[in-house]
Amino acid sequence: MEHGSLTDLKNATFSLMDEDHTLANSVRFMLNKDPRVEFCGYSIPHPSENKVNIRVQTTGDAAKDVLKDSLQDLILMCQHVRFTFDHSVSDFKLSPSYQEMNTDT
Amino acid sequence: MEGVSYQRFPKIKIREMKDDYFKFELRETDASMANALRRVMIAEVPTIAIDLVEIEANSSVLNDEFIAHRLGLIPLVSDDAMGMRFSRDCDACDGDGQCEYCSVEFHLNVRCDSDQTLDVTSNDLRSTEPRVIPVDVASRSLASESGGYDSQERGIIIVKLRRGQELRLRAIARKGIGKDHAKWSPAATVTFLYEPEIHINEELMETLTLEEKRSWVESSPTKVFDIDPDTYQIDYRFNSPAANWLHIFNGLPAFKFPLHILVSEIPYKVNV
Repeated sequence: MEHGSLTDLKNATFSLMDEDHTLANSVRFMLNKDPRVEFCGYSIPHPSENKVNIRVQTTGDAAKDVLKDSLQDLILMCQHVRFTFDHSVSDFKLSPSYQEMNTDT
Repeated sequence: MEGVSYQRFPKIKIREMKDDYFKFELRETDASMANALRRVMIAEVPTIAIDLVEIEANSSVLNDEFIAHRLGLIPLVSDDAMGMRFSRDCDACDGDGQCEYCSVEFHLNVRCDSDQTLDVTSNDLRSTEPRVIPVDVASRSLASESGGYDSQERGIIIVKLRRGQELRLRAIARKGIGKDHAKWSPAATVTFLYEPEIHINEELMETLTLEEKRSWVESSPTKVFDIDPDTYQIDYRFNSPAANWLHIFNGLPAFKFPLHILVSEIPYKVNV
């Protein structure tokens, strides 16, 4: 859900249901990387309600597009981490330090 | 995607990897990313655990709910968890949580007929699905194949029975996440910490006498510094125990190592 005014697209608050710090803090980080963002922050209004509010204020672009972009970036980054991780694991399994570790036990 | 991207691409380096222990470095990203990973690992990775217990007979010293709770905490091999359905959104059984898509049935039937106390353990659980069994049972059968492990090792004790006591029950294991109950959490603990960045002010260091340098090196509680015997300069010790987890420049030989440890990005790592 988006809270904002129809005339002012660059400032908005987004309410995400069934989410918590895991997503909100990561999105906030991605938004803060974006130079189009003037201000952003998030809050969880009540701890027993599964809801986060994310405030986005931009320098001119529509807040909803900036948020969408940052979510997209987050997806890409998570995919990248996943790929890099699998890669490192398979590399590590071939490395001498791993062979050493296994002979220890 | 028409939008603009300002993302970075994090790097990963593995420090240690065992079946039940994992340590890696995550670089070129932020604490929010590492924390999101940590939170997901603890609370949002699905596993399988016993969720419903029907006690048919229990004459042991522990009450029914106590035993049900203990059964829930037994870790089960959860490789199949991704392919399983959450019982709450399973259409095959109307959210009953009793069908083959969203549950695994276990049976336990033990009676003590000797004078010796009988331990009821995770070994006594009989699974209807051979791929979902208690973790310790699985690791033991794996180890006994290679022949290294002590096969006499007992499982996780559920309850102890004396002569004449009996425990008979049916248990349903379901898929779940750590957010709902800690029994579904796949990790014992997940932590991350920033890697320390050490800068030594060379100019000021030069003004110290050898004696002062020694006391400065001594002042480090984990003994990460050393004095170079030739140049009397302070060195960072690569092979000290504390330096082990701080070991980021393994390409450089220790004697050529400068007094600066410069890191261009904020690095930190995640311990699993």
